Amino acid sequence: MKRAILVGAVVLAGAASALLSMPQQSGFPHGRHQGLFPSCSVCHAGIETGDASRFISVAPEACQACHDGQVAPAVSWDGPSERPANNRKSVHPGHPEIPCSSCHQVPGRSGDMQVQAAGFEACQACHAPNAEGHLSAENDCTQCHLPLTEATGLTTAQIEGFPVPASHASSEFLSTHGAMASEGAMNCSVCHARENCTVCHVNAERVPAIMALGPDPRVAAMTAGVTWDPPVPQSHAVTGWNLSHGAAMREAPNSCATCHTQNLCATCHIDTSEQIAEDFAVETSASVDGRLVKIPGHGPNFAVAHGAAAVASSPKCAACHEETYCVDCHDGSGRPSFHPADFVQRHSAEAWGQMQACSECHSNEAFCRDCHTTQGFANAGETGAAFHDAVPDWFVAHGQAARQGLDACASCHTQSSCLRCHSAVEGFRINPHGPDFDPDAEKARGSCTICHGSVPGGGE
Amino acid sequence: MIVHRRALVLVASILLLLAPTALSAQGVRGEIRVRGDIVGFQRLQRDSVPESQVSGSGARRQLADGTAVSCTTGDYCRWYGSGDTESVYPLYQDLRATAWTGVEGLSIHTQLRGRLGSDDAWPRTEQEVEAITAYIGYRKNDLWLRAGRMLRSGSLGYRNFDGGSVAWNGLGPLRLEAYGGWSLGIGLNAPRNGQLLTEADEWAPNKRAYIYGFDGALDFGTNFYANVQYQREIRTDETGLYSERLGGSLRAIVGDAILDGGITYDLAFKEINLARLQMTSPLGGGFGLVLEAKHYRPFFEYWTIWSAFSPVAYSEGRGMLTWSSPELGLSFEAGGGYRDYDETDAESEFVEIKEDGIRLYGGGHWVNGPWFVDGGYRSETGFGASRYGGDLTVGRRLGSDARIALFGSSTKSFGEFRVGEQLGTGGGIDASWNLGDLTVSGSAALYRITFENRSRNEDWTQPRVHLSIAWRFGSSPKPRPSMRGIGGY
Repeated sequence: MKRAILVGAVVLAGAASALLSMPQQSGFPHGRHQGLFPSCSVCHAGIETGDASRFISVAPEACQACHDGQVAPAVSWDGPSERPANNRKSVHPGHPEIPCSSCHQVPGRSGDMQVQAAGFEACQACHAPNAEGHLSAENDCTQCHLPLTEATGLTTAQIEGFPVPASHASSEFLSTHGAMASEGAMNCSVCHARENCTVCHVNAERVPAIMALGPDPRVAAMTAGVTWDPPVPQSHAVTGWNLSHGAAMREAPNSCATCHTQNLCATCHIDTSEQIAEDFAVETSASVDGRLVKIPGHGPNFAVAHGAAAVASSPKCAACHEETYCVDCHDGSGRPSFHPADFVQRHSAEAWGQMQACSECHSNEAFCRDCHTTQGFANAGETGAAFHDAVPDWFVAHGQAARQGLDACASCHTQSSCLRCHSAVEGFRINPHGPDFDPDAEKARGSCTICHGSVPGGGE
Repeated sequence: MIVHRRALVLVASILLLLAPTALSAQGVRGEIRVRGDIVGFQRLQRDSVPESQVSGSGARRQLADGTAVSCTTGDYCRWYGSGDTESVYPLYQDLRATAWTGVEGLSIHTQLRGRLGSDDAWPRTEQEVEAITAYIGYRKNDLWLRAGRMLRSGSLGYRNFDGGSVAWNGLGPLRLEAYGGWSLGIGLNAPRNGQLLTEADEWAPNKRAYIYGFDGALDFGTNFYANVQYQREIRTDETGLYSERLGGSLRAIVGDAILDGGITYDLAFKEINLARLQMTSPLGGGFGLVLEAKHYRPFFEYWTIWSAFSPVAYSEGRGMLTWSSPELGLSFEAGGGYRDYDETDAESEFVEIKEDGIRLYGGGHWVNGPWFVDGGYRSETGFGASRYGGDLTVGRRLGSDARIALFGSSTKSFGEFRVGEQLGTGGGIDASWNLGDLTVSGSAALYRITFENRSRNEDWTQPRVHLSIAWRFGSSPKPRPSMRGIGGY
């Protein structure tokens, strides 16, 4: 009796061990039911309609019709459990008609019911036969997967657990993913939503590939507060990049616009006539003010000594300065920010000293003399030299002053004033010509007639 | 009102062109700016007493209060003293617009200015409307064509005219330009024989002038620019020239140094008007050095007699030391120059007039967060007029779109061939605010003008008020409130 008990115990232990060591039945044992069902749709009615809720359409009672413990061993199955959310795209129906076994046949077995759930290898066998693996860039992910924004059942944990393709780990991925995305934006959409891009791309709204991705609240939550400190491209370290970046930008404006907004451009550039800056976003919250902007190549005193650069390279000037910028100073009627503070009161010394040529911008006759006349400074035809009261013999001394600062004299005195004494045909007939005067300056002989009545020596 | 029919036709044409363009163009941008000022001024009043009432003899005498007077025997003794104190109210209206037509490379540019509502005491207020620019431009590959009223800069300066220009830069760094048309008065945007000039000078041109010129420029990136320009202005009746000049300019970066120079030459009198060479070089540690040599003789157009008066040139050496630290937001500069005039052959044994001059200046600029400080000192001593004085501005930016500043200055002027000195001291407040597409800026200041040794001049207080409202349309970038040029009247 003891031996029988011992054998029984050993058999039970062995059976238990065998049972425990057997794989759990995780799905329906299709192979054992070969020949029993006329078609897959008997139990999987949803494959014909695409109704995912009826992909397993058979009820537990149907099993129990045979598995009642008499005809066949009883089974315990409560019906299909809720399937975990996924982002797989249903191919039932919609896929071109091919035998079920094309995707579902268990490798190495034959027979109608030797089937299993289709794996990605089955899809890849036809759709990307040359792809190296499931996550290869050659694959068209959207053939089998829904865009992330449509896979609404996925949790953030599932999204965060997405496998990362090897291509994303490449050191060049930062610079190449844009082109990849442009060519295959929908591939990206399987794992990414728009918010993944806006973390880095300040111009996201102007990039079609990004806007092709939908917004997703789960990704928005995942990326909220995430900031990115982009690496500075090597090109930017080149000496003179500030001046030479134009060509690179024209070649690939979107590349620059990824990190830079129009605000940064506006630090120096105001001319957008080439419309390039339209590719750039406008940052409304940031300010580029407050910096001491150092414009390369300008150097100290450029406000005065910019002529040569301006005339030889006006298109370059136009990159930063509108024509009105020049007019504001050169026209003489805009806000006089060109001149030092309080210039109206103290411009007299500037004019006599001729640090700048006043007449480059101002008409001596219609601007300077006009104002001096209004204020009573200009000579109104009277004689007596009462204005220049610090010089006792002004009539004698004024010649030197005139030759040194004739521009300033002419800002008050008309030609007629001087002709009273310096005309060759009336008045005192005092010769104003200096020793170096060239009477043969034929090109200017028209003015001779003003004093001489005619051109001395003949001519017109 | 002076009506320049050609200008008005141009303006009307441009506006007509702009109207439909505004609807269909790729873009129109521009600005309308209205600016008004109130500026006080004190007239200078000529006064006299009978010569017999003034003691002494000769042409130069003194009144009892020390006022220097100029006397004519048997006539009067005259002097200039303070007259009425008044205010002038200039009002400007500016419209500038640039339109891209939708045809690639074709654009329209205009800047019009009105002075409607200004009172007559301000210069050029008779010119109620003027077109500063109004031209059509077309760029195609290496070609740039312009036609209309345009401004162009060259080695001979900044000129506007009515006409056309063709620029071509199809030979690498070489750019060639030819231009021609009708000449305009410098700084006037009006014909040579327009009322502005004819009313100002009896001998002003009675004929318009053709202008034409050629311009060649070399542009080797930022390292080398050079330009040569020839320009001629001839009366439309071809009986004489108004000017004929050659100009050249150069800017080169040699190592760390920047060389900048220019020369202009008067082809009628065969004289150099300007020869200038400046070298700017960093010295390390944020320091920089600017050295300049300059020779300058003013150019006078041939319709005037001034060149026949043999004006002389001065030669000047100038130096400036700069220091800046972008990290600290701090910059300083200090420098000076000495100039010496050529022999005039008109010196008097009885009166000494300076034949040289000295300029000194120093200044600094500091930006610390929203605060900024700008200050400077200038001294100019020479013949004709001298002065020294300083100015200071302390301001704060309010965000990126607004700025407020207090400014002040004090300047003493003397040596104006007149007895006595003048001191102007004052200051005010200046603010600028961007409100979307609007920019409102203004300033208000009071200056006290006092005199020393001029008993017939009365001290007075000068108000200076400025208000400007600018509205931008299209894609015009809004201006950043400037930290410079405050109190620049």
